[in-house]
Amino acid sequence: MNRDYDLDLLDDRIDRVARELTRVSPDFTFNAKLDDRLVPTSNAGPTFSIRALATVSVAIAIVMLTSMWWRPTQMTRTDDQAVVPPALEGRALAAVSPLPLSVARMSVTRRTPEPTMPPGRVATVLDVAPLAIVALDVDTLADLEPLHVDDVRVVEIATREMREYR
Amino acid sequence: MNVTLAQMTASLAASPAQSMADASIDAETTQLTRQAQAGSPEAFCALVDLHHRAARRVAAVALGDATEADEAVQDACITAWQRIGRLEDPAAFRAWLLRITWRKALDRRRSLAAWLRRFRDGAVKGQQALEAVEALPDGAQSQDARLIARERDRIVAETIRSLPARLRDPFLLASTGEHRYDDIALMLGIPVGTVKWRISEARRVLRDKLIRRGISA
Repeated sequence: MNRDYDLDLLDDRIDRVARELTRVSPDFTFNAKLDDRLVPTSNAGPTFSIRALATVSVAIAIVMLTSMWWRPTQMTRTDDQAVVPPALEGRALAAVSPLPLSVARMSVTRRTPEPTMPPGRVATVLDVAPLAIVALDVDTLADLEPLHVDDVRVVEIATREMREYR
Repeated sequence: MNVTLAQMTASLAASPAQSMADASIDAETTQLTRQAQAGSPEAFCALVDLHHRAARRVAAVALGDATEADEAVQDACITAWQRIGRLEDPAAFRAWLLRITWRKALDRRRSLAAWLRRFRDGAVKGQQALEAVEALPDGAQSQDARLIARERDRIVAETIRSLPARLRDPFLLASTGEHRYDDIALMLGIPVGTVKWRISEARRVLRDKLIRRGISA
């Protein structure tokens, strides 16, 4: 019985102290009504506008930074692909000399002693630098003699898609 | 006169006079909220006058400091003014304001600056809070009895503050006597049943700790 009584007293003390811990003074002044912060709600637009403007500015900055980063990467990758294999370097470059040096990646996978290229056959080279298509006709390919090139692969990856022309 | 918190809350809810007063405040709140939504700063200030006490007690629960609590309520009222157009039910203004206040107070409690401030001023503010407890009326007690009672109250306050926030917050919110369990549940974002359990658990933990420290009554 005494224990229950003591527990009730303890609860009373706990409740009284808890109330006191959250007691606040009766005086309170809402500062905003003393200055200009309480403009009519219909005029509360500028806050949103400034925020929207900041958001748009950040978005534009991100796009610009991304494009600055992306373009050089793409160009570098294209340039890396425009490598003429060492075995062909001298003559192949001579054969395509009218074209920019970065015109294409060429390799010879098989050499035969006699020309087997049928007349009228056209090999296409994509000029990766200006992204224009340049055609090399059979005569131009014949200039690759004495390599007897009948299996020249002109590989273009400028559009990230490998095309092979035999 | 052994009235527990639960009994006190129940008696408040059951009192006809209190119910009439609540209904009157609710009607006034609804009307003022509609006016504030129409763009009247005066109506909004009247709303703040009606409900700042409850809001400040809510913030005091979260922050444990009256000055910081008042600052949180200032922030909450500004936010409420800016967003009052989005409040769909004008009659729900009080609960809505208390939820905003609770979130603002939690933001302050969690901020690094507030933590550093509490760490720096902890001893002083703790002492101030306890002075409030010590200022309670003493009745006709002797000097020794008053000293013992104050020391016990100090230990009780210290023990309440040492509770984990998940128990302390609902317990102190309920102890204000101003919120129903539903309101507390909304503020804390937990089910009503969880609120009740946490309040009960907080009391059990407090009893155990205080009895271990020799405070049995």
